[in-house]
Amino acid sequence: MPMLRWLLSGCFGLLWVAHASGQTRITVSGTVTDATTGETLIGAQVYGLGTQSGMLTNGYGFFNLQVPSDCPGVSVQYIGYQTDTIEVSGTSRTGLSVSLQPYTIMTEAAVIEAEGSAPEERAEKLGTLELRPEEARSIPQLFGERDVIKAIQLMPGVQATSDGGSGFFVRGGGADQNLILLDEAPVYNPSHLLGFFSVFNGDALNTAELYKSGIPARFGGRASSVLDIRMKDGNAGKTTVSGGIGLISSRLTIETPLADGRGSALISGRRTYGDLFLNFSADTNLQNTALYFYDLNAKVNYRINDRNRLYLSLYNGRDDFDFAEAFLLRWGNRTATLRWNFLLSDEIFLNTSVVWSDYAYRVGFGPEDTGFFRDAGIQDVQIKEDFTWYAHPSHTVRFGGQWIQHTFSDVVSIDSEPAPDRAGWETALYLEDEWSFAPRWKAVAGLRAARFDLVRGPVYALNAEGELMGDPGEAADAGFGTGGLEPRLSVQGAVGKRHALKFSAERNRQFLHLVSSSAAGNPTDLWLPVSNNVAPLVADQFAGGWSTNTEDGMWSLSAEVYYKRMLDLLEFKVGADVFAPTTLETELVSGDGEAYGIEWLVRKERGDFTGWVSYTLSRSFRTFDAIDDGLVFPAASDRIHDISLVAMWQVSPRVSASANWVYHTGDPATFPTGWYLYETQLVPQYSRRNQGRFPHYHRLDLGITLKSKDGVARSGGGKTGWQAFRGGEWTFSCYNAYGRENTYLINFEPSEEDPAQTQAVSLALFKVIPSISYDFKF
Amino acid sequence: MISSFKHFAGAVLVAFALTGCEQVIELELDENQTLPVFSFRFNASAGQVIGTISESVDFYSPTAPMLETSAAVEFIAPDGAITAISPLPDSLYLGTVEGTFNTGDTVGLRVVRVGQEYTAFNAIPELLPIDSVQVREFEGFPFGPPPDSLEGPQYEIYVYFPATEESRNLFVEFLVNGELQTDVLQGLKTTPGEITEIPLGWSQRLFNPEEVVQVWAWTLSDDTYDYWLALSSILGAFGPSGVPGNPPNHWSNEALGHFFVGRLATSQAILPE
Repeated sequence: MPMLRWLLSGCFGLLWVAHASGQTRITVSGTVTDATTGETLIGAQVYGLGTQSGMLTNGYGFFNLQVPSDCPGVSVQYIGYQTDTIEVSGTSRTGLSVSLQPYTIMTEAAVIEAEGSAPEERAEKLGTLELRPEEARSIPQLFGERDVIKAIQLMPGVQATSDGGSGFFVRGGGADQNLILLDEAPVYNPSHLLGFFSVFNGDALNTAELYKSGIPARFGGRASSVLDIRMKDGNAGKTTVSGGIGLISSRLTIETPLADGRGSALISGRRTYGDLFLNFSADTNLQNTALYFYDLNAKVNYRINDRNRLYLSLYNGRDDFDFAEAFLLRWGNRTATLRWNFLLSDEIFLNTSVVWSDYAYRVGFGPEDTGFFRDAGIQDVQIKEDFTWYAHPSHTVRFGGQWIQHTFSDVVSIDSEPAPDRAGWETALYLEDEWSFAPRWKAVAGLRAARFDLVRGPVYALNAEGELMGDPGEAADAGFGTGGLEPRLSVQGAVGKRHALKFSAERNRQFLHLVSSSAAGNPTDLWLPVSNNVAPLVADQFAGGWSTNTEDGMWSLSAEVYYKRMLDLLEFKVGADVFAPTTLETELVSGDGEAYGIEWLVRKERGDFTGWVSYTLSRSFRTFDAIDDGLVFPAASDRIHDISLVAMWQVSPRVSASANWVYHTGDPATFPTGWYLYETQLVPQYSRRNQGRFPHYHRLDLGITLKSKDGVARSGGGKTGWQAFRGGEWTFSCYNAYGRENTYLINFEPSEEDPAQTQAVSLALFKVIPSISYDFKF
Repeated sequence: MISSFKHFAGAVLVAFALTGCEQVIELELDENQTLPVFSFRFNASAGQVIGTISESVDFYSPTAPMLETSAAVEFIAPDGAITAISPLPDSLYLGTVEGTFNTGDTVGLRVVRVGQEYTAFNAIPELLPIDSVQVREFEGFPFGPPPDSLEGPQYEIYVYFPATEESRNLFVEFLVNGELQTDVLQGLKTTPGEITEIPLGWSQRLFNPEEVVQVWAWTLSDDTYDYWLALSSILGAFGPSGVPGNPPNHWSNEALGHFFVGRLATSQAILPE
């Protein structure tokens, strides 16, 4: 006991000494913006010169850095911008507005100066992927679109669900296990036109960050990842118009300052127009067919004073396929986010958000007044508070909470008694401490407590066989709720001058399941809340990563390993009635999953020739007692080898070229292996689940961008109007340049040569898809 | 101008032609796992067992499944009594079992084939009798494609079942002029407390004057209903749908098919001229 008392006294003494005898510290805080547009710069690096103190700006461009009082200055840098240095003379400087000047031409010097990329900053990036829309613009994509989701699919650990699709798997998880946020509003279906386009118009976006592991405690509700997409604020310096004209769609974006630069607004729209040509068809059915999608993004922000800022973000998007009043498929997302940033004090940053989102679809046959239709969707109302307390140079504490009301609707037109809506409350509190416990090392320890309560709608009682018993009860009376704690821990830091390490362990809980009867997914999949019959999905992930770069910073290399365990996944049982059961809960079975893998990324960071190679070696399995007698089978996301090669070449100031080649192991599939006669029916016999594989997938995309002479010259001039429009850039791209016929689905048909034989016929969606687009800005 | 448009139209057509196509591919498959298929029905109302034994055949180069009669088949009564079920020459197994079979009793079937034993058990359901069979003249579809025009009237047939306190599993078959109609599988769970009305063929089947229609209404055990539901999903009205897989296997070793247990109610309708 005396020894223990001595030890404790010593520890407290050391702490007191560390705090008391250290140098006096001062605070430097403010926001970082683009000097020409006023756009906030998220993730800008801020560090004290000659110190170990540094941080990244938060999602609103805010920073708060504590440095020793003798620190000569604070450096602010961001790739593509000239570095700025804030002088400090022993006194705190708060409420700063740091404007960084963008480089008009990315010279070698500019990139070297901007990169910095100290290993401790690279350690923070392990387990995450950050992409800016201008980077996505360099990568050739389907129909010439520049899509952040398609670009993210080229990174390790992320796989597209299908050819050209916008859904994605992250580290063996399902497509519904990714929380996709647009200015904090959840987007439940990120796909247009069955996934060939995502709903994210790159012209309206600022940044996109994907957390594959080390998910901060402020995020929750999905088991595998968080894709946090932020819209641009709008140009606070001058009114600009930009857009693009393509073969499939066109887009237009207008940004303008408000209130003498105290605010700004942005409105951005995009629409396809293939259906306009159908009106010229001689076929009346085609004349009466609608086939289009559109997106509309709008945002307004206003700086009330140095401590208060308001943002309002809106999104409305829709897809419509209506074939001559015979078949209809229509879906859309709408979101609205109102946010208030408030500096409670120089050390406490507060964000309050009120969020609304709505995803709905309609599918059916026949005229709208007499046909058969299904209308379903999910609507959220959310309030969240996030505090960031820069408590100490070594401690940044984040805490807060959120409350979400989810409302689920599913109405079939022929039902005499339409199913009532269900509603549930998802609530969470979190606390997280970012602790710099050693020079160049920090730990982020967090705890999230999350809960889901079913508050309205039917509650079903099922027997042991999963069959309905009696009449449904009412959620308000039954009082169903579930929840738990989600610990989050990561440790990251630098070793030597060039090496970075990161380890993380976390639990994520998911209270909504997306039930789908097909592996590819479609807009008519249903979101199902947890209940007395459906448990929440719980995923535990352990990950470790290492990255390094060459001494000159030209090349970087990273490797990450992970293991993920998932409990209470859902699948439809074999022979499920997916269309008209009283409740889908009778058609579902639960099981577990396991995924593990290693991801490599080699990147050339600078020069006229840049790009990366990513390789993921991974496995993902599922086990369900009710499927194949509980034997383990490969998950739909089990693609053993996944490779992406991306190359970008700045040929000259006017010409740039790009190419990407992707390869992955064929998707698991369940193939028929035999026929048998049961009574009078000839029935296909299937293998065990997912024992077969589609053929391997690979594809080459090429692109060339040509800037007009006017455009190149315009950087030094001030052309407007038609001359400015002419000063845009042409992009010529070719998706699937060597015409690989990648299998989208397989039909089994009698052979033409011998009808007694059955053959597998592969259907590919795309062969060679060339496209041309013209982008302009003035 | 015209020349430029032709070039543009040609480019669009070429682009369209380059998109999407089909090709025959070779799949990497494990050897087909040939399994025995046991297709047996027990009608608890009459004590009758009927069934066939065959084997699954290769999917890609199929041969006709051959019926087997070399296996030994035994019926296991609720009290454990065993009754051998004998095969008819080169075809099916057929037998009658003496005894009283009460609702909830468990009966079993044992098959010994090529030295391997397969056993399945199932529970006897309570019979849902047929209340009435009604014939109605067809008046046309409410939506969708119009029927082919034929001379003379056509008819629909509706089968009615009484309301019961608990849900029952129904499986309805019908014969037209003695021929079993196999293109439609009709199964459903009745709603407690409500009369059940079933249009034969789900209103997609019309009947002609003077046809003789026999209705076989099976009340199924829960296991058998689940099996037929899975089977109907696999077969699908427009081809297989949903996630592919084999129906639940309730045999003690790996096998296909099912030991179908139910009670049968029958009725008949003779259509007018």
